[in-house]
Amino acid sequence: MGSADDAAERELIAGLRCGDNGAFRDAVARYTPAMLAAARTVCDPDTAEDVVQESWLAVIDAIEGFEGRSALGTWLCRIATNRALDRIRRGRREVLTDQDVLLDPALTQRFDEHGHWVSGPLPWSTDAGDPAQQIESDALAECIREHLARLPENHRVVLMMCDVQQLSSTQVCNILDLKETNVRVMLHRARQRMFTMIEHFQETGEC
Amino acid sequence: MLTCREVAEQASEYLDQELPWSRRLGVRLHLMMCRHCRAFLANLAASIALTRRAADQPIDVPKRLVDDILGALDGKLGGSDDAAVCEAPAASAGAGHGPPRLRLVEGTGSGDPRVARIFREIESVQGTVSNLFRAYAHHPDVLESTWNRLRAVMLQGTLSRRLKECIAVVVSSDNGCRYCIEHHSRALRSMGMAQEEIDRLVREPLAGSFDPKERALLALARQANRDPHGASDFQVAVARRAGATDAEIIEALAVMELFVSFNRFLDTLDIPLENDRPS
Repeated sequence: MGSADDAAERELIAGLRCGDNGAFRDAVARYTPAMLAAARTVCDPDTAEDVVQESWLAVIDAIEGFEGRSALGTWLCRIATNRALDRIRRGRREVLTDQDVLLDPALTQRFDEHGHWVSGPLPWSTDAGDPAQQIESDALAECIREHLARLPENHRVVLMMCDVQQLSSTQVCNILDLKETNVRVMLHRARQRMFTMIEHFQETGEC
Repeated sequence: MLTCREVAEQASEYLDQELPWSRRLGVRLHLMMCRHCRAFLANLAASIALTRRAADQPIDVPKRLVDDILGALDGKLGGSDDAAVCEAPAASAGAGHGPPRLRLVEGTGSGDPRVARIFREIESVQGTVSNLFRAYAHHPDVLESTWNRLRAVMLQGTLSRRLKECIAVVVSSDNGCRYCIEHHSRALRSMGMAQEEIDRLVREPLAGSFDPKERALLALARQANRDPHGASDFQVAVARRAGATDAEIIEALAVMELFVSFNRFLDTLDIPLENDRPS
């Protein structure tokens, strides 16, 4: 970010702190798309809209505590993401105990004690690398979405931000307030789950 | 030599090109010799692409949502629909050319003992009699009340002189009054503020080194000058919460009022800066 942008952002933040209507208007126009995208990694589109609206109201009071350690946009996305997570966690809270295990259980069992493949993966059909061809299959796309929804929520959020929205890993770490190593592990685990699911679909034609 | 399991463990980092050079080389060597791992990496990359395709839905922000958000914010901020109040200040017109619109009262007060007395008083406080007062001097009553008002607002009260000079500069800058910006930047410099800091004050008024109370009062004064109907309960509440008393809120607004009147008076009559047209 250039220093002119820095200055504009500081001015915008100062305006938000003072409860300035114009500053809020500017900020809503500028940051709502990213906040909505962040909330959508967690919950359905309608809930995400609710969450974003609720987040903006929270900003009125929260902006006083904003320390400027991350960019304003990142901080706003973090608010939206956390509020979205709070919504879906109501009633159930997942605790993942194996945060530092790199391999998904489904994959672990495919290696012998020497670390060799017991049943090595076969290359998918030549079209497999061509997403355009594969996605022709609505059934596969439907199956992917279904499995995405079943991922542990943290894994899903990381996968959506990294692989679907293609945010940088620094941005993802800042939005989720997580260490880079944790984000990497979650991403890798989530990818393996999707891999296992798609492999099953490739072999059996069933979800 | 890496095992297949170790390659699988680092597969994402390899695909994302996040492995350090030496570990990357290790994976590459393994891949050259292991078709299973080659297949695994190709399939993993394909599944990432497939997932993206399946889950990537365009995020469009419905106008209704933006309206709802702004409506809810307006409700909570208690503001109006008026336009933004934090834009950059416009450049000032500055002293014009040609004959002056108003002749200034020179010297020690053109023989009027009352004007002469006030001029002496101004001189004893400010060092010189500025063109602003040389213009007002055509009307001794107005001169006297204006000078008394300036003293009450700027030289008395509980807010720091520095904050009041900052309000003067910012309000004058918002109104494009070069004369007042000059004079009161000079005052800030004489209090030890660096020129860069003053420039920054003009550029992004609220980002300066103020405590929360000062910032809230500056913001309120600015709002009052630019868009009084857009002032909100919330803005006043912020100032109070930061510790401003009612008298201090009045004081900050009085500085604003004073300079709004100076800005309009000076620019309407195109009163020059002293060094623009030496007297």
